[in-house]
Amino acid sequence: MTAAPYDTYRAGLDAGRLTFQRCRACGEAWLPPREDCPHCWSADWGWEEASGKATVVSWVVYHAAFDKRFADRLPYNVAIVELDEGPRMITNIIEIPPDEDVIGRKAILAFERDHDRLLPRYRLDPS
Amino acid sequence: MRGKAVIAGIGHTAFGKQPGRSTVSLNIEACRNAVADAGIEKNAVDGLLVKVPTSKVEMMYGQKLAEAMGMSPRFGGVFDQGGASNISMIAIAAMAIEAGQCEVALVTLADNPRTGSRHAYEKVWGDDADFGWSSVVAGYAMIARRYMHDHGDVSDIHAAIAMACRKHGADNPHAQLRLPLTREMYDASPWVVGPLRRDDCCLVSDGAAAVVVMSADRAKDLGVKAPVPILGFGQGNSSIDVPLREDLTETQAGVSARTAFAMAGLAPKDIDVAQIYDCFTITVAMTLEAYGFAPKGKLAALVKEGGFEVGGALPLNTSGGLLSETGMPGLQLVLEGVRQMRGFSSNQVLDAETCIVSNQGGIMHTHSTLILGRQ
Ligand SMILES: [Zn+2]
Repeated sequence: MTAAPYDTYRAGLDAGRLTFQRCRACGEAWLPPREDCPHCWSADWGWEEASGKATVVSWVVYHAAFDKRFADRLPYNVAIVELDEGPRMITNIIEIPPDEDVIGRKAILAFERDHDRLLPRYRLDPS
Repeated sequence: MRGKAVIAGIGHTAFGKQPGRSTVSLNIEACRNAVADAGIEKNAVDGLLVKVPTSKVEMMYGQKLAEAMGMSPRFGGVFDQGGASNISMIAIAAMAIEAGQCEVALVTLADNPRTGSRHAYEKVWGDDADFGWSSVVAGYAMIARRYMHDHGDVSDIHAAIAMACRKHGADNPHAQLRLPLTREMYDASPWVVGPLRRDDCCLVSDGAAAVVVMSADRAKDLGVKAPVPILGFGQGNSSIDVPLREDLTETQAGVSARTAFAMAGLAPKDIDVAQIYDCFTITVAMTLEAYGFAPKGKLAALVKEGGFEVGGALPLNTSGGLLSETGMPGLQLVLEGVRQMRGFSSNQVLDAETCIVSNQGGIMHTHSTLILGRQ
């Protein structure tokens, strides 16, 4: 019995490694973890480690805490980034300069310990 | 199928707070009113289609409702597409009637997130909850931010949409929020999840609405007083979740509208009044563009001089929409379309002969379109 894809993904994060799945049949790469290739439906895929380079697709700023765990963190951001390898993920950007539109900015993976686990967050690439 | 089916009756409950009322009871009240409006008897109804209540999803809800209504419908059940379900169920009813599967169908929706549970709208998003990713509004805010990046500042458009809905809601005696919105009030409205403000977001409401669908011929036989012909319908499902959508500002709303326009033999220029699903102002902006009322990023021309208000180029949400009449997910827009085609809206568009209605669900995951005409 092999581990469920999410469990393998999570174990990677817990070890400070961001991984994604790539289809051996068609080459499609994806996150979040799933059991079959969403492009060609093949179940033949493997894990790869992300380079940590990504681009910001969009981001929002919470001024209300729908999740009470975040009540003392307002305002905070949540972002969508696209890894250079293709997969997308939800994350936080560590420090967004005020009044700056960061869509299209390059970002670099930076693990932070939070909520009793290692979270794959991103810093804007200063270059 | 153009014009073969009609909406023969409409009904709704009061909107706002309905403490202690179950969704079953709210559905029954709306159905009672819709059947009375059609002027038919309960035993004429042999189809029952219901949207599952978002606040509390229950197995076999369609059968539970039928039992409470003392019915054993030939054709019936639940369709799960979020807010797009309403128009999709009207379309399914029309097709079922055409295919001889039933003769008279009730399509109904009830929910009670205001006094019941709001969990569905404020929920955390699975494994990403540890990033603080939660709530429906944040998904729309992600889309809105990207839209603004690609097409420039849209605060004028968002404000115009909110102000038109609130103005129309103020004129509707059944509306939950009857306070007109000024531009100053909009600009001072607090952020919920930036770039969306409180006044960009729909109401949270208890209530129900229902419509009676039958063939035009059956409506004639039964002596229905004000049947409204269904000219076209369509749907489209983006399905892919927001973070994974290749282009965050693209949905299947255009596919839905083109299907409906083709069936109706009409084009956007032929539409006199629109009821556009306004869970958030960004949804209206993107839907109008996808429908072909303006090229992408070029809505500003429509906004000028009260273009969305009665008397303007494209009057929309003439009963106040989700932003002002009730936050109920979508069927109230169909009811207002029917009132416009009957000529009895509290914000009647003079000589309106066509009305387009949009419904959508999830975070732009699903979309459905209905085009109504005048008898
Ligand atoms: Zn594949």
